[in-house]
Amino acid sequence: MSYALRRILVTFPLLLAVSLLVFALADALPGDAADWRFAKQPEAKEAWRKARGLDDPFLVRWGRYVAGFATRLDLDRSYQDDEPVGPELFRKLAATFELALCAMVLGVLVGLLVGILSAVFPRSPLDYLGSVLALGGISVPIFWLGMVLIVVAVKVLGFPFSTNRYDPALQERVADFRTHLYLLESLVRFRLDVLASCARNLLLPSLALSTIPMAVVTRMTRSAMLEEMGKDYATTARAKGLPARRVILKHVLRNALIPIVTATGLQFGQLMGGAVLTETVFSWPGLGRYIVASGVEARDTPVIAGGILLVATTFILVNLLVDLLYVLIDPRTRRAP
Amino acid sequence: MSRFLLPVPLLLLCLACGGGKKPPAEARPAVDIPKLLPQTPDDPEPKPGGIFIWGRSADATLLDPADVTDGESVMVVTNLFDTLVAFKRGSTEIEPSLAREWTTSYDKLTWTFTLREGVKFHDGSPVDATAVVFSFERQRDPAHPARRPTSAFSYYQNNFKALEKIEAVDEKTVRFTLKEPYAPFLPALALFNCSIVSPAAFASEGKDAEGRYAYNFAQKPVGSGPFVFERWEKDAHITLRANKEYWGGAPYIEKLMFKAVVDAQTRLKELESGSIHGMENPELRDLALIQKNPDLRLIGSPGINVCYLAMHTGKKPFNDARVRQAIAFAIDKKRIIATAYDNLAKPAVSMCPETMVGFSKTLIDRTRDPKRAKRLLAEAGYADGFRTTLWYPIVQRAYLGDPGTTATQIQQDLKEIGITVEIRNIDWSAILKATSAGEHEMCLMGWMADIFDPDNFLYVLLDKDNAVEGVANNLSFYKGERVHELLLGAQRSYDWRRRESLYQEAQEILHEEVPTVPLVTVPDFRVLRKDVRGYAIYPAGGEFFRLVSFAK
Repeated sequence: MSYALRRILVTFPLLLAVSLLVFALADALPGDAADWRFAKQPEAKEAWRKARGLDDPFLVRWGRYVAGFATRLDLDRSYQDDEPVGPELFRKLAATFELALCAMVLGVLVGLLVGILSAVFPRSPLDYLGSVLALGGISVPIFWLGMVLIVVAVKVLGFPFSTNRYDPALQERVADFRTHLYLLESLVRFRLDVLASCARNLLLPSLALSTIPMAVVTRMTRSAMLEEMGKDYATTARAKGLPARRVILKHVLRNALIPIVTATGLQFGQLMGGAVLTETVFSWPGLGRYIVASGVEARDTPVIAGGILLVATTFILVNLLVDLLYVLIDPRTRRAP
Repeated sequence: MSRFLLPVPLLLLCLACGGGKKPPAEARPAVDIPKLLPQTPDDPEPKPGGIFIWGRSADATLLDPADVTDGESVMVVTNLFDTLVAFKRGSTEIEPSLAREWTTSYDKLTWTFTLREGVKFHDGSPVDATAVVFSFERQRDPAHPARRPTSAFSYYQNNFKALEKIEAVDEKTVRFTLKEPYAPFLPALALFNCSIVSPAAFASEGKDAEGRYAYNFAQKPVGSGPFVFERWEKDAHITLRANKEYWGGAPYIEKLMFKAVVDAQTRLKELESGSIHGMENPELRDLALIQKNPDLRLIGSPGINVCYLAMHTGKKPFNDARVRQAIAFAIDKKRIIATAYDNLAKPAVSMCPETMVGFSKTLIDRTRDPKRAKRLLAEAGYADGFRTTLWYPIVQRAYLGDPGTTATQIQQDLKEIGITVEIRNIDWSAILKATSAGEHEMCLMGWMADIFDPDNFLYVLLDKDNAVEGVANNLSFYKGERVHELLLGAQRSYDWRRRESLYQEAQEILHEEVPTVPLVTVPDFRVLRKDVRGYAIYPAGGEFFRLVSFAK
């Protein structure tokens, strides 16, 4: 069996295990939105629990939940008003996905560049600058950085700062969009006014959020590159007369990419669930903020469970993608052991 | 139910984003509040057109006017719907709205309203007596088809206990019959939950299996107000368009949008860059900066609210009035105002705010006196003090200022007289539930008026009728018989002089008995772009944008 196929097959039991864990944890939370909703009517609450099947055994409820998600992408209904929570969660997932993707692209591009340059010119002023920036990127709290970015953009640059995903005046123009990936869809549909508005609103939050992967990728690239450059094959390549640029980009970078790609995958997964602060500062209607505000604060268990399940699923899928990328980067993985 | 008003809970994390604060206690307020105007200038010749975007801290939860409880939803529905009577612009006086005129019987138990001619809902159906009866009946009758399983209609439950029946006399006449006189009846009718809704819209999609109307009114509201609902993108914006046929005159702006911008700092920056045109709830420490910005205008009004410390009078040692008096003598309101409110709040003397009619002007606030407090404690048998707990909510509310700081200040003040206080912060819905069930010893809470009447403060917050565990608004669980008699008497009398003297006596007793320590009243602030004309703060709540325009 090939590596890729095995890797894909492993994903299913993994997803199942994650859903069990998420469901069990959400189930174990004491108290929920229904206590509040039926504060004065215990009989109504009993009837409601019965109608929703909440008194069934745990495994039955879990089975029903998993089946609903697997077959219809259904994520149960809210305890507050019995409306399905799925559509809203997927909308929020799309918002967070777009934000995380932009932050990731920015972070990886800059991180790779700075990392490579730092490794090629170790202990140069450029290297030190890169280290300082990377350290700063990791240590500066995002909410602070976000505020600073906003102040600089508005006060110094006169940037037309706006939060949320696009200018509300363009609401009509996105009415026929089928996904909630506004940036990507406006690009595909070539709707430039929406695209410009989306890009403008995404710029600052993705810049703020990109500092985390940027720092990680810079450090990873630098150390992986330095390690590979010290190996015999690099010396051999140089000795046989290959130009330095070719050695670095073609041989060393390719070998260094494996740990970098792994780190990138993990980082992306983290951004998906961990962008709460950025989402708050920039009023980005993303999943993290939604899970906290509409799930945790309102004690709406299906929102918490569904939200975490979506984050976990995205995490697993992104890492699956990363593992599949190995096949492209490292030919050795193509061979079955 | 007014604790729900104003923004929906904000992330804890976001509160931490604050930055530097805590000015020294002797600092003067950064803003001269009495000099602030409650409105932006009016344009003698308002120019039509433009999109007006209002920034607020959270999105609406639902748009059924009878069922909304949070300020974000309220400010949207007040522009979509009309009520029978309404508050005059920028005032707490009642004026005719959908009802052209009204008469009352001699015993004040029957109220007859005559409706305005020719008014239509946004869907084209007429606003007639049937629609009015429908709008109230759906809140009263648990089996009404225009009710969702989740409908609580809490405002109706609280404000219309005295309503016996409502009937359509003819097409344009509606009659309300009360079981007993209810003085705040007219202002209660001006509240958003009494909005007249379109029965035709409800019926437009037939009924479901359980006999309820299938139409999702809370997501697609249809009223007769100055703006028509257009679109709602959850957690982002709500768009309304001008109702060109509005009976009271069409709005000047073309579109009205409500945009949710969670963080107050970010909201202000958006306002500075012009992406929004007005906002609520600026952070108090930003006010001075706002006033210096040539693009912005700060407006404010005194605010009808109270933040208070409630002590559970059913629990030891708070069952002893001397202990409660001691606590009142120990608390330093001035320092709380300086640290938790940036010197921008006023000390509250009574639970009925100074800005509300019926406030007892003869009351004199206790001056801080720790020695006397200690003496009182000793008399009550607590010379060595005692241990207790103080709960406060994690939520952003103007009247709560920075509740954590207030709690810490109270903790320090009480430590001085030997009381050890353990403070605990609890999230909003949890604290509402726990305190209304009476699980607390002391808690920090606030209230703002729904109905412009002292009844809405004193009866709601201190009468024994509202001290029922599980649904209590009277968080001190104070059950004074004399106060109950006085408040009930005031509720059932229409003679303002008599009511005023009853409220006066009740406030004097409450001042002596101290079931709660009234702490502060906080002004309302709004920030708008300089070119916005015709915006005014409505002291009784809600936002109204019909007369707003842009100076060109």
